Amino acid sequence: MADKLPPTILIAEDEPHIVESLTFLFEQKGYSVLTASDGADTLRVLRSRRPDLVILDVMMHHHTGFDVLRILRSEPAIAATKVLMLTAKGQNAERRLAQDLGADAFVAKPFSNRELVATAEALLQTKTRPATS
Amino acid sequence: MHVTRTPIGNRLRAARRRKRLTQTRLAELAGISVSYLNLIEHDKRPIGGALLGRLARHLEIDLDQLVGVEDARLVQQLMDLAGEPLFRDLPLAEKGAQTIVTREPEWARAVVRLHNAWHSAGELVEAVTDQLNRDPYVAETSHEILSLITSIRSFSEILAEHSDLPQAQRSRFVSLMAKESAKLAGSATTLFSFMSDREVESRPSTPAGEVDDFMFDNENYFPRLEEAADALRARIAKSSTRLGEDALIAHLRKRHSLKVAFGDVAPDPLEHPVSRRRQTIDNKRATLTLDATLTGPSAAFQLALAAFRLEHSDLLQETANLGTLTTDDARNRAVQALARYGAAAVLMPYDRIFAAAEAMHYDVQLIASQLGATFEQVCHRLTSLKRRDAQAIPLAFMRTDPAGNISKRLNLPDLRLPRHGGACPLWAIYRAFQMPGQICRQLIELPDGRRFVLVARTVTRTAVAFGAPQPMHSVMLAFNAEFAHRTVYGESLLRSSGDRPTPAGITCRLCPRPDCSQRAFARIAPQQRRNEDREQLALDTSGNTIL
Repeated sequence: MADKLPPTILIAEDEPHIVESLTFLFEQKGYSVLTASDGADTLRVLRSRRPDLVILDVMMHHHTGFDVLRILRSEPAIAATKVLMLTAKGQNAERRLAQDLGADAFVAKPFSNRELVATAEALLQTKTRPATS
Repeated sequence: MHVTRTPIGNRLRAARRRKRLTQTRLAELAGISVSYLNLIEHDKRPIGGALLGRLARHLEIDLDQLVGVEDARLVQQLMDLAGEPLFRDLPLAEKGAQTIVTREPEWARAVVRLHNAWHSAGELVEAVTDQLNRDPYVAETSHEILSLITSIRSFSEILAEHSDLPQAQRSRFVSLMAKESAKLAGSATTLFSFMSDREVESRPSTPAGEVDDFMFDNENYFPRLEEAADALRARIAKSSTRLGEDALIAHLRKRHSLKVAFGDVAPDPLEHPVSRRRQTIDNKRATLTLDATLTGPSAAFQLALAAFRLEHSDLLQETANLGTLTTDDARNRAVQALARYGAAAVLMPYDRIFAAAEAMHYDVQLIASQLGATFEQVCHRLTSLKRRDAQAIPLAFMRTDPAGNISKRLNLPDLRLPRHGGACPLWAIYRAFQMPGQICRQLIELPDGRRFVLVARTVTRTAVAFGAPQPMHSVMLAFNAEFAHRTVYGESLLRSSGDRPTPAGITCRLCPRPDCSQRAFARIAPQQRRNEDREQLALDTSGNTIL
């Protein structure tokens, strides 16, 4: 990582304390972290900063995570962003919808830090966004 | 129960064959001719009395079995099934049921069993719908709880895994965890108490349910209809006395050139006959016909209703369109409900009924007699007195028939009446049927400790001929016991020491009282806990457990 900028991760989540703990976690690991607290904000940061990965909460104000995902995949400039969706445990319907809309990975709340970081890192290591069904 | 006998021939022949008897031998034993027995076995001759007894004895079978008591019951059960609205368009005759029972009794049993299972499933669906109607609120709170757990978990893992955290950061994370834990406790308490019996959000699935919600969302108070009613009343009569039939009839004649007649009101062929029509207008003959069986105040109500519809139809449509009603059926029903609201406001003007209610401490019978209205009309009207400067106590209203079919309901924010099925069988509204015409007053305590005063009485709207069954309903007002002192029903309740609250619920499906002697259905548990959880909670004696 010496001659390369660290990957940038956008945390899109409307619970400020979750944002705080995740920011701490990823910064500890050496990533550059951006944050957004609602759907509109998320789209703004995506367009202006082009992060490598967005950790996207399903339930947010002003566009849900699904809306953001739909728009993201339809805009060529940001369509290749890797997307990790935060869903609610046991909500299979949420998961299916996220998958249909082109999410790359899911982690269900309440997740463990280790699980989330491992999934995010695995995603960042894949060269291109894997094809979704 | 009257049961029709099924033809005996098949059963007789089958029993004879089981006994390995020829027709000749059995005829001989029973003392009849072979040809006669043959005719009986082909249901060509009736049979009964002594001969039946002899045949049963020689065949060594039970007389009931031979006569076919069970078969008759099966036929009856198949006919019950034929009465389902689902089969309305199929001409299912009893003869067919008899044929099936006689020829294929096992198929008949299977169909009856399926019918019973279908009924049970329907009831379950209704109850579960009641639960799921609250879904949006549950989803939102569940998400909030999950987020709080996520953040607490994340911070605790950070604290455990990063022993080298600077002190300031460590303190901040610990304090955030404490805050989030407190919030979590609050959200969980809200969710559980909501699940145990309160309804906060409810999506109706029927037009009638939508109209209930429309009225509730407007707190059953429509200022523009009140104004329109006052204007209409002023056009009808200048004085502030009671508005009687005569003044209304004169108004309809003068302003709308309508004659009023009393007679039979034919049902509208286009409408589903949910309730009987009370009036019809024949435009060709310029005649408004009212149901002749209506009693005085009910007839006045129908006249006011006709006048309000004729003079304020645009306002009714406009008001109904303000709601979020999704179907034409719901909008039509809302227009009808609003027109009835208008008629009630014409007969019982806001200021007069409010003044009477406050002066008479909500004594419904006294108010009714002063205003020349019925008990039910006054109850219903009292629920709409919500004007800021003249606000009555918050009242819920409900009407049921003796079979428990609820035909009117107006909720309170803190008392949502069940949308499906009956309410708690302990409620005064049902007890009132045991003492027709008398006020039945009751103090109830809900499982969460909230107390309500219920005031119920039976009502009849029409006169019937001698010998004909009198249609009867029970109507009820309910209010939070904190308003008891403002009412004549509550005042005496507070004084009498003997009146302990009845431990009651809202409806059996949602009621957690395990020992209730009136329980009609098992409770549907809102959350399925694992046994170990339950044991764990039972062991917790700290008093902080949320159940």
